Amino acid sequence: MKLLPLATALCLASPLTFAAPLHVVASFTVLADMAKQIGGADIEVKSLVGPNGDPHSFEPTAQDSRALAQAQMVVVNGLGLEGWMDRLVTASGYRGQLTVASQGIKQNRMQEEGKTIVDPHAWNSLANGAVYAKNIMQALENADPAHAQQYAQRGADYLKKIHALDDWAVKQYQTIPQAKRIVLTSHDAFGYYGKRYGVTFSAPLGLSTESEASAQQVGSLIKELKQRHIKHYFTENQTDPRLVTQIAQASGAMPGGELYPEALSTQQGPAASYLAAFRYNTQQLLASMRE
Amino acid sequence: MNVFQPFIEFDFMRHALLSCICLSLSATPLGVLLSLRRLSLAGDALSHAVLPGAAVGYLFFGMSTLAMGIGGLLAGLIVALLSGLISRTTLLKEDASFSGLYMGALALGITLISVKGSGMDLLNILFGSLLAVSHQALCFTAIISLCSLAVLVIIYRPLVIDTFDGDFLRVRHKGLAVSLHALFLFQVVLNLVSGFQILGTLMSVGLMMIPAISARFWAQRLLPTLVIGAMIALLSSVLGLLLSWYSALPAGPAVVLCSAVIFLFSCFAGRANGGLAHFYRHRSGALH
Amino acid sequence: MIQFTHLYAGYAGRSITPAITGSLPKGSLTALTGDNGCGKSTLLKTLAGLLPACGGHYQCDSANIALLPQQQSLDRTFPLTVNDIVCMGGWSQRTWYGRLPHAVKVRIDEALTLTGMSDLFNTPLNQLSGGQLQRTLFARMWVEDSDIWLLDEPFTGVDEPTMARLMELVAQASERGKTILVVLHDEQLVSRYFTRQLVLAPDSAQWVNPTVSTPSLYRVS
Repeated sequence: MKLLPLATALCLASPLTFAAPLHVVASFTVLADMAKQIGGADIEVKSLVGPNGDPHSFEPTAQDSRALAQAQMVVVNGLGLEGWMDRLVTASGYRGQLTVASQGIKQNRMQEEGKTIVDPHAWNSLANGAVYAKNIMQALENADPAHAQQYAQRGADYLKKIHALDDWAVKQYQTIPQAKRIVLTSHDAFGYYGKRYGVTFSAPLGLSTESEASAQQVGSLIKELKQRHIKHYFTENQTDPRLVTQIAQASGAMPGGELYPEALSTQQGPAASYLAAFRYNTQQLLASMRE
Repeated sequence: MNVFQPFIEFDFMRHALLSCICLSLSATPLGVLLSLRRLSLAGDALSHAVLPGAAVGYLFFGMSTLAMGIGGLLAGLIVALLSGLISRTTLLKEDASFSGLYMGALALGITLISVKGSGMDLLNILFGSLLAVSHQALCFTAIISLCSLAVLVIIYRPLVIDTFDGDFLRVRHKGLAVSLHALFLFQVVLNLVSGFQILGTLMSVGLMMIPAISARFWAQRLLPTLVIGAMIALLSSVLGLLLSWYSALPAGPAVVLCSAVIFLFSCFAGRANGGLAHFYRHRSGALH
Repeated sequence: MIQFTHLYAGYAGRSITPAITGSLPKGSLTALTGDNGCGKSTLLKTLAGLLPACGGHYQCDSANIALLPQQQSLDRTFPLTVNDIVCMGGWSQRTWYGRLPHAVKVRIDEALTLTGMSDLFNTPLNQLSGGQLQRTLFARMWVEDSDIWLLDEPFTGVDEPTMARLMELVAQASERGKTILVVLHDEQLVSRYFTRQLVLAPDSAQWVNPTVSTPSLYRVS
């Protein structure tokens, strides 16, 4: 007998859940954009690190904590990118599932100052981007089963776009001789990109913008650039360009433009979405290599 | 192999060293006088007070040396003037009024930068980029150092008199003491602003103060103290940069660390007033 | 010549002396005595122009005033030598490019000789005894060559011979026409050297002639 009121309540309640969009919080803009592409109008996404922000060293505000507490789904990159995330999650009281977008990708390990650390910038390779999209899609379906079908549909479309862009990039790079595929940039954010498309990136800072370059690092980098005849350097939208400019002047490299490796631009900028950012980055790099 | 090879071979090392040399020559003597005027911590406070001004410059003009420099100068002067006003009209002494203001200024600066920029920009402003000193920034620093030294030479004697016995100057020349103090603080802020793009706001005061107080252990008279202070700062810069090169330590902190080590050594072994010297004087029963 | 009319001295608007009326004629040598806290130093600082008067007013016919501070207000570890300190006295007489005129150099030598500090002119401040520092400060005052001397407890921690020597200097200065006011605690010293005395108490300021064995009150016109 008690089952009837319960069933009625559920039936009455479900339209309400149909109406309100799912509250999703993503740690930075790339993940937020992916979630938005797959979730569409059925979700509301907030990105903790804003456009042009640095996800390595982020200072959360009280608003961020509140958004997290009210979230129904949270997406993070993992791999050590968001050192500040654990504390924020604990502090905000969010008790739901934490979706790690990079689950299942093949990790790049690097030697830095004698220690082995994992490169967190996995999304810069579209092959990994596809894994990210799949993980996010799955998480959305789990968090909001009512819209599972829509998520699956949009997810499939998105994956098609990713694969198409990936193929395009691979083909483009194949037209450039290996010896010309070398670039200087601010920090090692393009490890996965480089591996996937066969480009070598040199950078003064290591894997995180939080470290401070030593004279030894800078000097050896300049030597390497001169030896390898690297013609172009790129600044990044979220780091201090002065150090890169200094190194470039010393080694004779020319400015190639600005890249967006770990933060999307604002809506008006050239890298407003994950795919747009990838296309823009790739076009910049290709253009510099073709000179 | 020449130990100084990195300086010969690389532009950025030379720029770093030259900018530190400029700072050593103009800022450290000011540091000596600052410590004699019992305002050592005020130097620290002023270096933090500079931040909101630099932040405003950054908000409007990005990482522009000139904009952030002018903004920082104005902010530092405002804090210096305010604290002077507070100390003259209330019961607080100058160092207390400084400490009341500078923390607020620092927090304001951090807030302003966080509004537009990322944590990275904030860290760069706080800690500077010693290895990223451009030619333009070096010229900027050199000009400031030259002007600062010139002013110091001109006001040296009355400044020393005022530092030793404030009333002496005030009896005959009432307005002069106040003007001198204002001009002196202006020089301090100017040098801190010049230093913050090199060593950052948190540590430029380190190169100003630590060699200055180390010098007190090596000299009995004022002029030698100023010269020795500058030389210790120079030595710290060279050693710090070499350490950064050969041991892969971050450059700015390495310079300040070296000066701190020299300070500890001076406390102990300084010929003029160091611990050992005191010990031997007591042992031999010398009159003093 | 300094004239006081109902002068109150104090800090930040609050006076700590009673009303003082009287005058110090040119070339006079006056002792200023009283218990601690009665405002002797404060009065001196007010006359020097360092503190604003809290009430009434005073008039100095010369702006050329020298103040000898209490020793404890100075930093004994300051890296200066005796010569540096004595030369401070001649600062306002330097040329625009910083050179000391010959006349001033002569005065400096004279000052060092009179105070007996000639041999110690290169000694750093932190190696001086109390008496030696006092003599140095006197020498500086001598070089300044002001019309009015205000001395704040100049003989604290100074031995007998030094005191006698310095009082000689003060007497000489007074004979040359300087108006001198000295804050003292030692009544014997007052009666030995001074013919005029201003005694400060919390509620009264009395002008006294100390050479008379029983002090009698009379007003100075």
